[in-house]
Formats: sequence, C-alpha cells, structure tokens
Amino acid sequence: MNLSISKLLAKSGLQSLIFLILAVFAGLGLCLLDTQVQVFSFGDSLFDARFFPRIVLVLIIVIALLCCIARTRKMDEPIGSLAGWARVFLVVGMISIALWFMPSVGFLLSSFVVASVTAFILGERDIKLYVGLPLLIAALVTFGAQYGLTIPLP
Amino acid sequence: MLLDAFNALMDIWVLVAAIVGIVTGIIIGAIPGLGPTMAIALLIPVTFTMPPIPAITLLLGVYQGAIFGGSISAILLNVPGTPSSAATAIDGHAMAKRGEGGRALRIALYASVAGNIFSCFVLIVLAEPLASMALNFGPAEMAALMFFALLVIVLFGGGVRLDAALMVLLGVFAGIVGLDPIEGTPRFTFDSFAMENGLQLIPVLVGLFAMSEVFLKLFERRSANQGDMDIPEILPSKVRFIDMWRMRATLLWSSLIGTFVGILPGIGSTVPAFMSYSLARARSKQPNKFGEGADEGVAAPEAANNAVTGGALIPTLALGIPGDAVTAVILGAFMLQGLAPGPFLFRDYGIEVYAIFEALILSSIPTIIFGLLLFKIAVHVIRIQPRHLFPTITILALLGAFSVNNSLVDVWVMLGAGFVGFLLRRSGFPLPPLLIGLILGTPLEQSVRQALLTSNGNLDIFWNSHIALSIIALTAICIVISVAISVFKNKRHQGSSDV
Repeated sequence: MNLSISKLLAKSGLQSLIFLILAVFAGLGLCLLDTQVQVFSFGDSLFDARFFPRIVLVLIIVIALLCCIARTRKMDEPIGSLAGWARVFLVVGMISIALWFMPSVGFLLSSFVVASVTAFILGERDIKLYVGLPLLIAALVTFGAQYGLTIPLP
Repeated sequence: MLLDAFNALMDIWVLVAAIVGIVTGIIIGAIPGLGPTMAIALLIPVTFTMPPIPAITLLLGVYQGAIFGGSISAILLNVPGTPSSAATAIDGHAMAKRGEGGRALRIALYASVAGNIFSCFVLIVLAEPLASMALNFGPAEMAALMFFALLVIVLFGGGVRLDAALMVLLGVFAGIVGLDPIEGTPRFTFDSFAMENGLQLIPVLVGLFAMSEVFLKLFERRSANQGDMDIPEILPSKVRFIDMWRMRATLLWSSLIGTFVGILPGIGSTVPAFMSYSLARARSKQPNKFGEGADEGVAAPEAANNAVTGGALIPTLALGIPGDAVTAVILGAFMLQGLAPGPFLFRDYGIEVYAIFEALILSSIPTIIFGLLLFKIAVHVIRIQPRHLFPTITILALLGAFSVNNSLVDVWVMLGAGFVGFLLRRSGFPLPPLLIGLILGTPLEQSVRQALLTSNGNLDIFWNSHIALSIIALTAICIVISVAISVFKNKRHQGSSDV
C-alpha cells in the first residue's frame, strides 16, 4: 500500500496538482453555492439559479477525479525549474503592483515599468533595450490609444 | 443584397483595413509562437472606433495573413509559426534546403488563396440558409445544438478527451460568474458590483492567448538567440499558372476537407492540414516524392488550413457557435461591433455580413501582392528576439484588457486568465475547449432552463421536437464513431507493438 502511494507520488506533477486544485475549488463552490447564489422562490422551482452551477461543479469534481485515476498509469508533466517559476511569479507580482498603482501613476509609467522588468527578466542586458525600447513603446501605445483611439487611459 | 453589400465595400478605409490586416498578419504569423488568435485578440481595441465593415475586414485580414505567415517560418526554418503549418513544413522545408524556399512559399501563397476563395463561396452559400433554419429553433433545439457542439469539441478536438471535457466545464463555470441569465441574481460575485458583469470575453481571451504566452516564454527563457537560426538561401524561382493548374484536383480536395472539417466545432486547422497532406500523397502517382519536397505536399495543407477560415465562420455566424479559438475571438469582435452572431445576424445586418464575406474574397488580391512582397522581409522578422517582442505584447495586453470597458477590473481578469492559461498550457491542457465552453456556457444554461421551465421539468420537450431529436441522434452517432475510432486505434497500436 505504502509502495503504491509512493509510486503514485513519484509520477505526480503539474497535471495532478491542477486536477486536485480544480476538484477542491469545485467542492468549495458547491459548499458556497447557497450563500453565493441567492434564490427568490416565487413558487418552488427545481430549475432556479443554482440548478446549472450545481451540475457543472459536480461534473468538474467527477471528471477531475477520473482524470487523476486515468493519469496514475502515465508520468505527469514535471513541475519544472524553480528559477522558471520564480521568473513568472516575479512578473505576475510586478504587474499586480503596477495595476495597484496605475490609477495614481498612470498607464504610461506602469506599463513601462512592467515591460522593462519583463525585458530584463527575459535576459536583455543592454540598458537601451530594457529601458529605452519599453519606454518608447509604452509612450507610443499610450499616446496612440489616448489620441488615436480616444481611450481614456488612467 | 450582394450588390448592396458590394456598394458598402466601396470605401477607401475598407481597402486600408484589409491591407493593414494582411501585412500585420503576415508579419505576426511568421514569428513562431505568435499565432492568429493572439494577433486578433491584441488588435481588437484598435477596431473599437471603426465602423463594423472595416473593423471586421481588418481582423479577418490578420487571420488570412497570419495563416500564410505561419508557413514562412515553417518552410524556411522548419519551425511552424502556427500549429496548422506543421504539415507544410514537411515538404516545404525539404524544398527550402535545396534552395527552393521561394518556390515553396509561392506555392503556399497561391494554395492559401485558392483554399480561402473556395471556403468563402461555401460560406456565402451555406451560412444564410443555416441561419434561416435556426430561426425556427426554440430553447430545446438550441440546448441540443449547443450540447452537440461542446461534445464534438471533447470527442474530436484531439488530445485526451477527459482533459478536454474538464476544460469545457471550466469554461462553462467561468461563464456562470455574474448575473443569472434568467432570474438576474448575482452568482459567485463575492458581493463585488464589478463582477456582476461576469468575466468579459476579450480580457479573458487576451489573458489566455497573449499573456500566457509571455509567462511561458519567461518560464522557458533560453539564452540562445533566434537570430542564430540558419535560414537557407532563397534562389530565384517562378511558379506559373500551369504549375498550379496541374494541382487543381489536390487544391479542390484539400479545400473541401478544410471547409467541411472547419464547420465542425473545436477541430481547428491542424487536423484538416494533415488529412489533406495524407490524401494528396495517397492520390499522387509519385508518393515517394512526398517528404522530399513535393509541390503538392506544400499546396495540399496550405489550401486546407486556409479553407478552414470560411468553414469555421459558417456555424460561428449562423448559429453563434465558434468553430475554433480564432473564430471565437472573431465572434467576440462581431459582438463588440454590435453584430451579435446567431440566427438574427443575417436578418438584421445582412448587408454588413455580406460585405464582410465579399471583402474576405477580394482580400485575396492584396494577400497575393503583399505575400510576394513581404516574404523576404518576414525572414528578418523571424529573427526578432523574444526579449524585445514580449514586453511589447505585455503592454498591448494591458491596453487591450483595459480598453473594453475602460476598467481596471478587466485588466485584473486578464492577468488572472493569463496565469491560469499559463498553468494549463504548461500542463498540456487544450485552451480552445475552455474558450468555447465560456462562450457557449451561458446560452446553453439559458436554453436548458427555458426549455425545462416551459415544460414544467418534463424532458419530453427534447423528444417531441424533430429537430432536437435529430441533433440528439447526431450526438449519439458522434459518440459511437469516437468510441469506434478509439477501439480501432488501440487495436492498431497493439498490433504494431506485437510486431
């Protein structure tokens, strides 16, 4: 028994993790269904606003578990290098900070910082190309959007 | 109607839009990793202030151009710019290695145009009658049809069926967030007023197809320069009309396959490209030349993958059911222009729709002109480094998401969709079923509930309608065919492993 569990864990990777996350979130969704979906019962109806989400969430749980079982025979996609994940999380974090401050610092500055950090993390080390090029593109896009497409950017 | 639509095309901005779209498409399509889906999703904000005909012409021009652009890197570098160009790479790259890259690209271009024109004529002939028929559909028929479309994606979309089913359900659930389509009560909004609009299609699209590509590139960062790639010398060459005429049967069969496989939801253009390649090889008098640089080995997949354009637009425009990820994005663009795809589109906006069809046919002329002019320039575009390209895509993704409703909430949604898309692509899950699930989820729920509410929960409403019953029978046939294909493949696999 212990051997089979350890074999299963050895084969597990990103896909198994995603199946698990989906199953857990769908389970949480089912638990939250009554609080997150209000139903005003004007005459009892089985086909209210909770009817369809309930079916979809149950199906997600069932299929995620079936996927998990089907995967036990195969090797999963490996989680990958820590450095790769760190680069992705760094840019996601940077975009989140830029979005948080965008209403006060504006689209031009926020998008320039995001693009510049992305270029640097992607391996650009020439200052003209990781500062100058993103600044130029951010300026072109911002002014093009504001004056050409009349989009009221922050 | 066709004449009125032609008159509507007589606008310089339509021509400008077609040219800009085609040129942008060829350049973007040539860059490996940037497909037409991402290109169209990022360009949608540019079309907000444009009238519907030039706006959609521009986006369809990008689609046409990107499919041909994808064959440039496939032929010259053996790196398909789009997945559907993988079949073109087999013989195209073999030709390029002996200096016939120019000839291969010309054949690819002419075959692309032939496939596109054929499928557009089929689109013009079939779309309106299909839409007129769908006007008679009630909730039960629509529910059966949408269920059929989602099932076809799961069964025949390629890849692991359980994974595809999970992605469809995830998409359908994403569509549930927001106001209930019948009672109007908020669902899974966590008391956020902004979330009552639900997850908007364009920010989710931009996240799934553009932002996730940036994250993937960050994850897989490689130190090697793309400029170091060895591009074979392109010797002067010519392709005469008679050379293409000799391949007329191949072009016709490939266009037929592309168009009719394109009509089926979720299959995309890769499968018909390989089907056409196999058929051309089977029909050829010299099948041994395939793989070593046969003209028909380039023409067949290119005609097929371009013919998918018109085919996939038939269910998208007539029924509101997108055929693949690209047509799902185009469907989003139609909706933003106020032209809601579905049975009423042809009745309410017939002139605009036929003008777009005609523009799609006529844009074959600039496609040939700019395709011939640009393929030598596109060779240099292939050398653009990801570290210069992807920061620009990030800025455009931020703008694209914001510009839909001028709301930062949509940018957060785009970022979330981008990260989810990255996780799913990294794990090998297909994204088109998720996207089509998101688009069809709400109308499916609405139709199912309306049908059940009107029949007081009696399922007879599905059996008593001839149309719904026919669609259910077709669904059952698809399940049987899919199971039979699996059994056949397993037996063949076992047979080959026994040998």
